[in-house]
Parts: sequence; C-alpha cells; structure tokens
Amino acid sequence: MSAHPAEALQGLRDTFVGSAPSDPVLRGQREHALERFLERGFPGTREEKWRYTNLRALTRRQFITAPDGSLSGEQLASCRLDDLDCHTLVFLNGRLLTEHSDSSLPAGLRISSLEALDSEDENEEDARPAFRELNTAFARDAQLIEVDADTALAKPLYLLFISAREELPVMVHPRIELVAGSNSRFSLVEHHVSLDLDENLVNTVTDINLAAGARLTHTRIQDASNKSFQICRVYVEQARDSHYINHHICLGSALARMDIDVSLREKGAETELNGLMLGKGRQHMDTHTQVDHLAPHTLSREVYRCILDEKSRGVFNGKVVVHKDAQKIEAHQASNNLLLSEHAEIDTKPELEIYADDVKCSHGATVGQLDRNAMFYLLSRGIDRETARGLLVFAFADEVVAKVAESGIRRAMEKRIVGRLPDGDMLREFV
Amino acid sequence: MLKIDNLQARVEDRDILKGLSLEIGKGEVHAIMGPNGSGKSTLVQLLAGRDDYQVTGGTVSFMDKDLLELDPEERAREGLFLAFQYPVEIPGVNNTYLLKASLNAMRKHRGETELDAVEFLALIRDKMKLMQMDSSFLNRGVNEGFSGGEKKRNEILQMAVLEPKLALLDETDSGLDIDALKIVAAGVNSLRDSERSIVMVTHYQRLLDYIEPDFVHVLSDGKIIRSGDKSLALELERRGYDWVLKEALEEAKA
Ligand SMILES: Nc1ncnc2c1ncn2[C@@H]1O[C@H](COP(=O)(O)OP(=O)(O)OP(=O)(O)O)[C@@H](O)[C@H]1O
Ligand SMILES: [Mg+2]
Repeated sequence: MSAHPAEALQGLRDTFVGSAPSDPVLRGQREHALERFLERGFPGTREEKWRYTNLRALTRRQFITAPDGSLSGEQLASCRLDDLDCHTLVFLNGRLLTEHSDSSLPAGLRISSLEALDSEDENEEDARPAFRELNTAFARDAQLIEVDADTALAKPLYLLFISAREELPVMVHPRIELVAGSNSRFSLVEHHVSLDLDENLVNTVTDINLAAGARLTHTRIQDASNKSFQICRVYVEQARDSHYINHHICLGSALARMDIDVSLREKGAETELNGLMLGKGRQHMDTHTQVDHLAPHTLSREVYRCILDEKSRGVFNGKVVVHKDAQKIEAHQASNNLLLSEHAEIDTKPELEIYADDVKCSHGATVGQLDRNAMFYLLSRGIDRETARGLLVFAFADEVVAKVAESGIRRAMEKRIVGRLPDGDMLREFV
Repeated sequence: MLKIDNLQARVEDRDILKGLSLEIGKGEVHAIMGPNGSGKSTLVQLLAGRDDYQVTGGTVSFMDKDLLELDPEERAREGLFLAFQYPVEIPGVNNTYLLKASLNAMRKHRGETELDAVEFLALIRDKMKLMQMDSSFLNRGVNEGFSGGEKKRNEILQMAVLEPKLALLDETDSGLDIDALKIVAAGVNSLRDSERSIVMVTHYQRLLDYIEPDFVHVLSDGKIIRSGDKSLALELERRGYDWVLKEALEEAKA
C-alpha cells in the first residue's frame, strides 16, 4: 500500500539508529513504532481520509534528524509573539532550549519530560495512524504538562516551535501530553514558525486529557515556512462537564494536515473547534475533525473558514459520530469558504453518523465569493475596489480570529493576515 | 445638480423604470413617494451605481457629468451619497475606520489633505453629538448588531461627516421611533443649504412635517406620474394613491 520509494523508508531506519534513546526499554518501544510505521508506510490517496491530500512531495524527500543548535536573542525575538504575557518554552527543530525557556512555573503547573510514549498494546495499536507511529519512533524532548485540580492559571503557557534550515531538510516530531485536573482553567498556545525558508517536516502529536469540570483553551498558530510540511494530530479526551476550545490558525507550509479527534466521554462535556486556513500560491491545507459524542448531554460546535487565493487548495472534513445512547446531544458545524481565484479549490464535507434518536445536529457549508451587498455598500462610500475587497476578505478571516481571547494573539494574527492578503497593503491602517 | 431624462432600466429581464424624468436643482429638497414595488429603491440604487440594474434607455447627468459612466466609488467621491433603505451589516470592518477611509477618499479626490486620526476623531465626535449617538458605536463593526433605528441614524451620521452635494435618503424614516425621527430630521436639516440637494424617499407625511420638501413626486410603475409641492403629500396622506393613479391613467388616454 505504501506509495513511496523504498529508499526513503530505508533512510528512516538509518536515521533511527543514530537517534534512538539508549535505554533499552524505551529504545524497544521506539523501534516497535518504527517497524509498525515501515510496515504501512505513509498514507496514500486510496485511503478515504487522505483522498484529497497527496503526500507524494513529502514521501520523495529524505529527512534527517536535527543536530543540536542554538538561537540568538535576536532570532528568538523575531519569532515570538511579543505582546503576550505568558510562561514560555522554546524549541528549536524539536529540541527544548532551556536557556530561552522559563524555569520557574506557577504553583499548580508542572512540566516534565516524557520518556515512555505509546505502549505496545495490540488493541490500541491498530487504531494508531501512521504519523503517530512515526512521531513515537522519533520524538525528542516530549513534554508532559500537568495542571493541578482546582487551579486557575492566569497566564497561558506558550510553546514556541522554531524550525530552521540545515544541510538537508529536517524532520521534527513535537510531542505534548497535557493532563488538566478537575475544575482547572488553563490556556495553551502553540506557535510554529520558521527562521528561514526551511523545507522541514514537522509532525506534531498532542494528547489532551480533561478531567471533570476542566476548562482548556488551546490555540495553535501554524505560521511556518511555505516550503515546509506540517502534520499535526490532536487527541482530546473529555470527562464530565469539561470544556475544550481549539483555535487553529493555519497560514504557513506547502502542505498542512490537521487532525483533531475529540471524545466527549461523559455528560456535560463541551467542545468548540474554530479554524482558519489561509492559502495562496500552491499551498495545500487540510483539516479533518472527528467528534465522538459518547455520552448524553454533550455539545460540539465547529466553525471553520478557509480563504484560498491563486492555486491553493483546501480540504475540510468534519466528522461527527453520535454513539448509541448519547441522547440530547447537540452538534453544530459550519464550513464557510472563500475562493479568491478561479484556480483555487476547496473540498468540504460534513460526515454524520448518528446512532441515537434525540439529537440536535446542524451543518452547513458555503463556498463563495465576496458578498455583493457589502461590496456595493463600501464602494458607495467612496472606497476603491481593491481596498473594499481586502476589507471584506479580512473581515471574513477576522470572524475566526476575533474568537481568540488573548488580545496580544489577536492583534498579531490580524497583522499577519493583513500582510498575507491580496491588496493587504491598503489595509494596514485598519488593524 | 441632477437631471434624469426618460430613464429606463430592467433587472433580470423585467422592466422596472419605464421612462422616468426628474430634475433636481441646487439646494432643493425633493420627496419621492409611491406604492411598494414601484421602483423607488431601484432608482436611488441605480443612481448610486449598483450594477444589478441594466439601463436600457435615457440619460442621467450629475453636475454636468454623465453619471452613468462613473463607477460607484467615483460617484461617491463626486459628492453623491445614498442612505440605504437596508444598511448592510459588515462584521469585522470597523465603523470608524470605514468612515475615516471614506472621508479621506473624498478629500483626496478633491485635492484636500487627508485628516489624521486626531483631527478625524474631533470631527466625528461633533457629528455624533448631533446624532445623539453613543461613542461605543465607533468601535463596533459597520452596522453590526445595530437595531433598525440605529442603522438609519448611522447612515445620517455618515452623511453628516461626508457632506455630500446630493444626498439620496431611501426610507430613512422607516423604523424610527418618534424621538429618533426628530434627531434624524435635525441632522438632515442641519445639512440643508443652498449648495446641497436632498432627495427623500418616504411613505409617510410625518417625515415631511420635520423636513419640509420643496417638491413632492409620485412614482408609480417606474414613472413619475405627478409632481407638486408639499400639499401633494398631505393630499396623498388623506386620500391614498388611487386617485393619482386614476388621473394619470386618464391623462395617458387623453
Ligand atoms: N435584484 C432584483 N431582482 C429582481 N427583482 C428586483 C430586484 N430589485 C428590484 N426588483 C423588483 O423591482 C421592483 C421595484 O423594487 P424597488 O425596491 O425599487 O421598490 P420600492 O419602490 O423601493 O418599494 P418599497 O416601497 O417596498 O421599498 C419590485 O417589484 C422588486 O421586486
Ligand atoms: Mg424601497
């Protein structure tokens, strides 16, 4: 089934030898994951979940693991969000840079390195996607983040992942496990950026577990090099009355694939997924979400927007499974898309599987151009056509960005988005 | 100021304006009344440059220029302003910034210097006082979540800031409570001068009590079928449209 040259995979095996941990148990686990990955290889377009996303460009590449590196203060400053009051961890090509990271953390927040990753449990193994196995095989400096019960943390934890160019493209496998104790309040901000025009592969796995009543806001900004490959998978497990909010802003990469799998396991669990994909050139951006309503009285709400210019391509697939006995749930999904060029393309699809009868589900997808009434209104006020267009595109994007609670992130994103839009120059004074 | 001669227009293969003529002089205030669906909004939107309408005949000149040749943004910069019957909500585009960009586009067109943020704020605060609008409106999206009456007030606020030569007010009085109507009327009256012309589309005599028109026209089935002074509006209020329609029909036969 593997749709890629054997040498690339052999290359992975060689790379592994030089990079695996020395502890024999850990090494064994990693090796096992690698073998499982090699058996299956990268997913191909014959798999339903990868139908619209062809990984050929990625599978043809040879990637090395990153050598140790360092970062100057200026380089760091050029990457980080500057208007954010937060606790910070900085990673360079996947390696934690302790000199740039906060060592003292507030009471109730604990961060430690995570050694044992996925176990060799056969029942679980079969469900593990290929990129997860690859991550397990190669992950370095994996982090376990724990928030104690009944702790409300005022400042977000900011994880800054910086990619940099090496002789050959680098593969980086960030790995985060977050455990939020009951009734805790916490905000996690993940920011992926590039120092230069790297062609790296960044394959992130984030496991999140929310205990009863926990509330987590998870903001992910992917603003990496337009030549990089960004694969990301977020797993969320939610207990009773917990609340998860995900904001995903996807700007960078040649190819980006985001998977969010949420399991609403107990009554009262709620999840909110918001996303913005902004593509141009030949960028390819794909988001797959899956929400499993496993208990009654659970709620999910998804809002995804995609703005595609030039020859970029977008994919959105939103799957909702309402399991047997998950009565009185609500699941709402909206996918709104704006095509700015006749060569841009979007595939958007809701997928509903409902095995309960008393449920409230809605979904709507729109693909369109700019609203004519709004356009005429702006023109009738003397605004020129280019600025009017830029304003309306910006406004469309901003409806997602405006949901982000931290004003520092919002402002930074608004500036970035304006910089990325056609006719964006005209808009500088608007944001 | 504005001269419309035998204007004909259609939308989606349906004739809406069927030979409409109207002349608006400098400093004059005109009211256009007429039954629902007769073409009033079509007329003013077409004048502002909406391209859904296809002009099939006639001419329009605005300050001696061929209006129909100009793009909507050029018409606005030449001093034509339309207060919409249904102002559009544009979430995400800030009300203040739109107004500032709009005013500066006009100033630039006239060869005047653009206002900076401080100058602009001073100006707009004045005008908001006139319209009795709360400053919280400044930070909201264009018409976003405004009540019907607030939207209409916002239209007149824009007019007060932009100081157009010709203002077309499409049912600006509809949906206003009695206090808001007085505020809007005061706003419009404060802009009345010998250089500025105003066209008000309305269904109600009530508005004309506050803003006295020089001329009143009845638009029916795509044509002006009768013109008069403000007493015509009072008569319409009393007797409805039937008699004008009948008389027009008889005149047409004769
Ligand atoms: N875009 C359009 N497509 C189809 N028909 C249209 C369009 N715009 C206007 N019309 C039709 O043209 C006719 C005139 O409409 P218009 O809005 O000008 O009426 P009006 O006189 O302003 O009415 P009202 O008093 O109800 O505001 C109506 O029958 C309307 O349905
Ligand atoms: Mg109308």
